[in-house]
Amino acid sequence: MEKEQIVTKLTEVIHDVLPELDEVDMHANMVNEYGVNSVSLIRLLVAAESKFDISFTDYELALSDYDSFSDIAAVIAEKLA
Amino acid sequence: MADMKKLPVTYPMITSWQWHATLFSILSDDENAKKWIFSNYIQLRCYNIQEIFTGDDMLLADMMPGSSALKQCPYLMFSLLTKEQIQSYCGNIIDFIIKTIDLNGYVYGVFDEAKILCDAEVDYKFPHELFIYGYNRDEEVFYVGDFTFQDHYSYNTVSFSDLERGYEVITEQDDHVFKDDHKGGRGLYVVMKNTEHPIYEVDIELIKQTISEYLNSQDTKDHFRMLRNRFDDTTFGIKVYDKVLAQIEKQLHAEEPDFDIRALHVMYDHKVLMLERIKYLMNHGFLKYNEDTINEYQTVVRNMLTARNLLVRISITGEIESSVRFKTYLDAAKEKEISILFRILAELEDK
Repeated sequence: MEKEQIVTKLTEVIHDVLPELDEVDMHANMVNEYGVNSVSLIRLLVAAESKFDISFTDYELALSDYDSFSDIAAVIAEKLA
Repeated sequence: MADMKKLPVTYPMITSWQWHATLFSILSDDENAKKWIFSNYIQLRCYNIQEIFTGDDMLLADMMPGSSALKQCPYLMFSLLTKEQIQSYCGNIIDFIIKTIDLNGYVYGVFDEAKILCDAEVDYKFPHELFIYGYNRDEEVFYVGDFTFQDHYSYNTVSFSDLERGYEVITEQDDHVFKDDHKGGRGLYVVMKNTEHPIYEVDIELIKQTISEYLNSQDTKDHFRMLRNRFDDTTFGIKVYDKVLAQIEKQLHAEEPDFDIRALHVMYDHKVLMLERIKYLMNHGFLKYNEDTINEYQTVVRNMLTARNLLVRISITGEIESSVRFKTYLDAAKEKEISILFRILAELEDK
C-alpha cells in the first residue's frame, strides 16, 4: 500500500475514533495539539488493526512511542511492507 | 493586584493521584526537594475501600506517605483555611485565590467538577481535588491542574464563575479531603514552596530500610503511625503485585468485567520514580554508575506500562483471554525488580 493511501485510511480511523477533531495535521504533536492520551491512543490502534488487517504487539501500545499520527502511519507501513 | 499571574509548574513525573501530581507539579525541578522525594516514596501499599463516588469496591494502591505527602513534605508549607476564614478575610473565593496566588501560594481543595465541566445544570456532584496555580483577570479564568478535563493529568483553565459554583455547592459531607484529615468542615488549602534552604538531606539509612521493607512486604505502618492508623487489611511492598493481579483477575472474570486501571497506574508510577531514584543515587555517588542496572530497571518500567496498556486494550476489545499475557508482564516486572533492588540494597549496605 502506498504511503498516501495509508495516510488517507488512517485519517478516516482518526475521525472515527476522535470525532471531535476537525482537521488533522499528521505531523503535529498528538498529545499537545489533540489531547490524545494513553486510552484514546489504544482505541486508535485497535481501530487501525481492523482497518489495515494488522496487529500491534503489546509493546507497541505505549503513547511515548508516538509523537504524531505520522509515527503511527510509519509503523503501519512497516507492518504492511 | 496584577492582571495575570501563573506560578511555576512542571508536568509531574508521576500522576497517579492528585496529591502526588500537585506535589510533583510544584517541586519536580527543585534540587533540594529531590533529596526528600527520593528518600521517601519507596514503600507501596494497597487496601480495599468503597469508591467515594460509586460506592463500588476498589483496591486503593498508593506510595507512602500517600495522601499526607503535601502536608509532610518539608519543602512545602501546607495551611488549612476554613470556609469561614476565607469569607472573613476576603469576602469571596475568587479574591481569596487571586490574593493567595499574588503571595505565591498555590490553592488546593475539593470542588464540584460536574459544575465546572458542565454548562447545563446537573443533578449530581463530582467532588474532586483541584490544584490552582494561576489566574487571568482579563479572561476571568484560573489556571488549574487535574485529571478530569482530559482523562489524564493536564493543565487547563476554569472560569471564575464555574469555579465559584463548583466551590459553593460542596458541603462538609462532600469534602472528602477535610473529612480524611479528621477535621470535618469545609475549606481550602494554601500550598507554598519552601525550597530556599536545604533542610533535608538524602537519607540513605531510610532508603535502605524502606527498600528492605518493600522487598520483604513488611508492614511499615509504624513509620507512618503519627499520620494515620487505619491500616486494617493493608498489603505492603512487593506483595502489592499479587494483590493487584488477584483483583484484576477477579474483575476480568466477573459477569460484567470491570476495568479499573488505577492501582496498575500507581504501580507503573512507582517504577518510573524508582528508576529516577536509581539514576539520582548513581549520579550523586551513592551508588556506582552502572548502565546495565539502569537498562534492566527500564525493562521493569516497560513491562508495567505494557501490562497497564494491555488491560486498557482488553477493556476495548473484550479479549479476556489476553489476560494470560497480562500476568506474564506483571510477573516479569516483579521478578526483575526484586533482583535489581536486592543488588542495590547490598551495594548500599556495603558503603
